[in-house]
Amino acid sequence: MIEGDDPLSRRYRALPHEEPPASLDAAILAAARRAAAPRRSPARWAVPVSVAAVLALAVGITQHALREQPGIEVSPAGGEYSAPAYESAPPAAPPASAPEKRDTPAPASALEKSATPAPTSAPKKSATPSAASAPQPAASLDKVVPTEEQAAPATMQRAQPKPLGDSSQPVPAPQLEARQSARRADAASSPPVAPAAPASPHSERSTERLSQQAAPSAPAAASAPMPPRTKREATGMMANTAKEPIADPRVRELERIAQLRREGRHTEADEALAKFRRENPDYRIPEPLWDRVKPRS
Amino acid sequence: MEASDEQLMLAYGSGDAAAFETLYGRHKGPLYRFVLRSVKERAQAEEIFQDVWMRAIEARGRYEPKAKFSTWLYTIAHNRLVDHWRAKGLALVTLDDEDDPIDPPAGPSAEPHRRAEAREKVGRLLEALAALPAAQREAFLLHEESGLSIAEIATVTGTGEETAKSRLRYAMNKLREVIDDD
Repeated sequence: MIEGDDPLSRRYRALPHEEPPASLDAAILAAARRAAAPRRSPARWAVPVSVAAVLALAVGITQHALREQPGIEVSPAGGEYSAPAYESAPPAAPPASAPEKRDTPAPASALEKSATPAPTSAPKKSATPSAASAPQPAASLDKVVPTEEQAAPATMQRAQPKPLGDSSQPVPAPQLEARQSARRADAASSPPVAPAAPASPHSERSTERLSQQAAPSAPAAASAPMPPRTKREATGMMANTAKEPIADPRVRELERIAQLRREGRHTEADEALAKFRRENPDYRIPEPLWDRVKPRS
Repeated sequence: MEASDEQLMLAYGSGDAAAFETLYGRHKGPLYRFVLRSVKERAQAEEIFQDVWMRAIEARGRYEPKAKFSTWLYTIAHNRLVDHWRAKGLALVTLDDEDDPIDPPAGPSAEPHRRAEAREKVGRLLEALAALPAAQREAFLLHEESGLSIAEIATVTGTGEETAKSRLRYAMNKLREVIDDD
């Protein structure tokens, strides 16, 4: 070991004390300051401003429409939006009115027969009027699998405004989603769940469970904490990529770059490698892996 | 009381640019000389030097003071040098090769303004340093310039302590032969 008063150490310290040029200092310090500067987040104020703008616009348009056609809220005679069609088009079910309606089991069975539950006697080819269907999509669709034919008219009517106070009906889109989710549920042999309602946390979790079940190849261990691995183990796993997932995300990224090389996508590989180096400057790329990811001269 | 390197780097990661300036001021000289005396040309050395700091800047958000800041910084420098050697088609295993010193620094013999130094004792040390195998030279420079211990040199270079110790010992023995001849 070199001690402070070691002749070698003294001789070395006597060497010229070269320093980086001032221009280099300036460039590095400027880059450091730029990196440390707080980022402008236009989204911070942009979002509330844009929401306010949209609201103002909506209010303005509504007021304008009311001024122009004061009777619009009343069924116009012979208008484009004819009364029968208007009355027969309750596709959207406001959640607020949902609790009031989901009080009978009959709606569920009625829904099984009809995908366009019309609250009134409006003539619909497939409608069996359901007096008080459950407007809560998640609950009402638990056991409902509307047919495609039934779902179609509902879909078509989706664009039409729902009359206020009308008994709510399942939304066409959730019905379709419910059918798809029911298929998934069958395939996964899991209890029927309604993933159609985004607001339902239970359905979200169920969807997640279904997706996990639907992906048998997805390693469960990926979400579980992996035991610590040495770097050698991590690189040794590269030989078994087809069989076993790689735990270290850096090794995974390097494997991805190696794949790009194999595919001849060298430009992408070079960019990915440079990005990897920037993000992991203190990571030592093992030689075998380096041979697979290194730039091709 | 002066802030430690680790505290400064953490502060910089939180957005304190002045902390970085202090940190840079402390380490720029030793790191520059480490890089300069590890590669062939000054232009390359400056490019690598800047690259090392750029990587440290980009990694500021992920910095964790698990070890000394200097260990972290010189690990980045070592990796960058390895990339440099690899780009030249040099495998790491040859860095210990004494018969074929890898990419010796130009030293006084290459750059005119340094030829005068070659005639001086100090110059002979630089020549001897340049003639060392890269791995031994690196171990010596890490110890002498950045004051790293054997264990820290081993961490930076990704080797065991025994390997780091033997590299340093071989380097010192060879350099002592040169200064003893003076």
